[in-house]
Amino acid sequence: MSTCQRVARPIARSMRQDRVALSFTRTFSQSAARKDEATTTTTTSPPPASQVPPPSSTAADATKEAPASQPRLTPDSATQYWEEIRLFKRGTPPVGSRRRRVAMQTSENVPFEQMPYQCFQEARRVLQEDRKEKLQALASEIAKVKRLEATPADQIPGGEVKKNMRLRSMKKWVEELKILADINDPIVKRKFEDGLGDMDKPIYRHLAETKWRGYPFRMITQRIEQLNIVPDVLPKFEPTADVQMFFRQRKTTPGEIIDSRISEKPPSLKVQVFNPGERLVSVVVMDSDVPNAETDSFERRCHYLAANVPLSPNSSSLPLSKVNKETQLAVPWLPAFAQKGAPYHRMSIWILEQKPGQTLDLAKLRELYSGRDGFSLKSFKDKFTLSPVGFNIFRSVWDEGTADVMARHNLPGADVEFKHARVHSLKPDRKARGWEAKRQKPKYKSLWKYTKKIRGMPRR
Amino acid sequence: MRLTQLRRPVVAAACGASSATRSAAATGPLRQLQDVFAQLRIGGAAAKVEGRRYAAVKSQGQYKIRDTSTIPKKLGAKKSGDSYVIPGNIIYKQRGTKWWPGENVGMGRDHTLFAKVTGYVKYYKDPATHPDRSYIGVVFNKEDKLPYPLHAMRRRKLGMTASTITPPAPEPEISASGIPTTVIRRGEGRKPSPRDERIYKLQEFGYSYQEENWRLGTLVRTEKRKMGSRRTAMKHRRRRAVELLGEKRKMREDKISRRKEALDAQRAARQKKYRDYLARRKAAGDAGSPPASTPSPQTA
Repeated sequence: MSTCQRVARPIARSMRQDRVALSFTRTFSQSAARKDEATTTTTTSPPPASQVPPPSSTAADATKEAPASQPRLTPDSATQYWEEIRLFKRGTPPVGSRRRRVAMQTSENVPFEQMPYQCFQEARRVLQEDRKEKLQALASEIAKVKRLEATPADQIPGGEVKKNMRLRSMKKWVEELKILADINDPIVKRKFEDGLGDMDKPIYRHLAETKWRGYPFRMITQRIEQLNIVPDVLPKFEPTADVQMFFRQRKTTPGEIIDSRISEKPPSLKVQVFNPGERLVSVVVMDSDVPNAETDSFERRCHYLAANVPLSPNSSSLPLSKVNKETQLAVPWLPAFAQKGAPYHRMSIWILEQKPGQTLDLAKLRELYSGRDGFSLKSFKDKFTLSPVGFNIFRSVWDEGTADVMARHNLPGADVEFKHARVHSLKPDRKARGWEAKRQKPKYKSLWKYTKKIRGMPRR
Repeated sequence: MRLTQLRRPVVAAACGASSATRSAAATGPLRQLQDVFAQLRIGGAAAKVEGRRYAAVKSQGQYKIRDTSTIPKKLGAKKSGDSYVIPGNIIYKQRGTKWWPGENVGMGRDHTLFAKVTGYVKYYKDPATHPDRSYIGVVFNKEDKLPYPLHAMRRRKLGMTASTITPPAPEPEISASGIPTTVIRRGEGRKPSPRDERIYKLQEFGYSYQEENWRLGTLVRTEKRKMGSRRTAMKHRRRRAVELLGEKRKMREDKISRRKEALDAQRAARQKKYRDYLARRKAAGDAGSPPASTPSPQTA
């Protein structure tokens, strides 16, 4: 180290420290999320036609609510594992990724409109102009829709059919325009990636759906095909909602084999729907591989049934253990178990959407399905006119804990082991030949102590 | 023939000799030999014969490997339609996939089709799956038709029997010969860790005790670390380190308390000795009191 460097070192260090301290204090006083909240709401506010309340950023709320004594536990500054866990439990999940949170704390967090990059600002201007165009087109399209709706069908060439068709296509275009207006907004993109997107807005739903269609959807459809869910449980099914399953706060991959001690308690689900509005759903967990040795076949069993559970794009959490016991729970959770030797059990979790305004009669459900055995999802679906939207699956096999789990829940059959039935050969029995076989005869009695016994060939 | 075989080393020797004694080797037996061989040689034909080897043992019998193209491969159907098969029965042998495996049929390494369940063989076409392919399937009922209707539940059988698990008979503590069947050797120290416990079992024959192989196996770690995340591995390492620390601390405390106990015992012994001494003094003659100069063990 040269002399001048040595001289300058303390100054450099103090400058560095200053900067860090400065950034931290700023983060505590006003978080990055709040700083550009106002701009985000203005830029991403949906067109005036759709009456959507202004977004209330949960992260910002948490920041406001957090007491001054605990400045660390905020969704946008938590970097420790335990902090994240605590935030998840509190219901205010941390923002973005851990790397993003660290970056937010150590960077200047300059809002986009104040960034000193000319090209960037020019690009933003272009995008804003495009957005303005889109909004104008949207307004005119909505006016057109209104006009067409007001016109009676007999004044339109083509009549009622044509009118409905045009209305449908125009409304579809309106929805597309709503998305196109915001799709290029960098702030929208950032908010979505931080997990702060308001799912009541079409753009965030669109982004979430695109993300889901990327990998999770393909995986779940593959599992549906691989595990033969489609012909076995339902004749036809295509998921339209994202269902994530958490056992003990750990996310499970679809089709994973879960230890019976872990699946003793019901999982909690995270169901993300991509169409607007509040709706009621039924949740079914069923086992489609209950072995029956008497009939030499497999049966089905209902492990859980809840109905009239409200669900909307913004409220995706659905813990199965916390549904209302009086008004929602029809058949309580039965732990997943598989008897020894039996092939794996497919435990499928179904989210079935009820018709708008339809509530299921719980007493009837209890009467029908509290027996659990012989449950058919198809008949349940047809009987109550439900449409399956979401699906997830796990498997269970016999393991060390299964016997204990079955004993704890008074389930019989822990002492039963399934073994492959013997299939006898089609060929006739052949006489045993060879040195050993020859010496099984009484003639060689003196050699019996040296020869091995052959099964099915008694010595006399 | 034998001469040609002989020729090679002799020629080599001759060449070696000629290079050394070119002038002297013009006459003599070597030269004569070379002349003889030159006469024997017929043009360049002998060069072709060079290096050929012959069978040392004469072949016997008339066995010959046949041309592989004429060996029968015995391909074709081994089971016809509607015939009864059990798992593993070969239904069709083929080169390539003339027939494709359908319902409950598997395909082997050489495209051999075999049954996977007990049932009846069906040869069929399934235009919904593939327009051109021909399939072989096995159904459970002879009257069933393949392909099964679309979107219908799969037909399957359990193929298993339920039997009750009998709990293993408890091992007797004392063997027939009157010695214990299990010997447990504990670890060092007053409170040995259960990790150091070693269990030896009496062998079936004889009187020797041996550790079970699986227990021995647990002492050695042969496999690599499971490929989990590094963070998880770190967590486990830390946990193990903390455990070890705790054990060490316990051992240390144990040692200290043992030392303390030993000191206490010593002190008690000294006190007892003193008390005995006092008693003896008292018994001997209760004339005088004990001398005050003896140090009290209490203060020591």
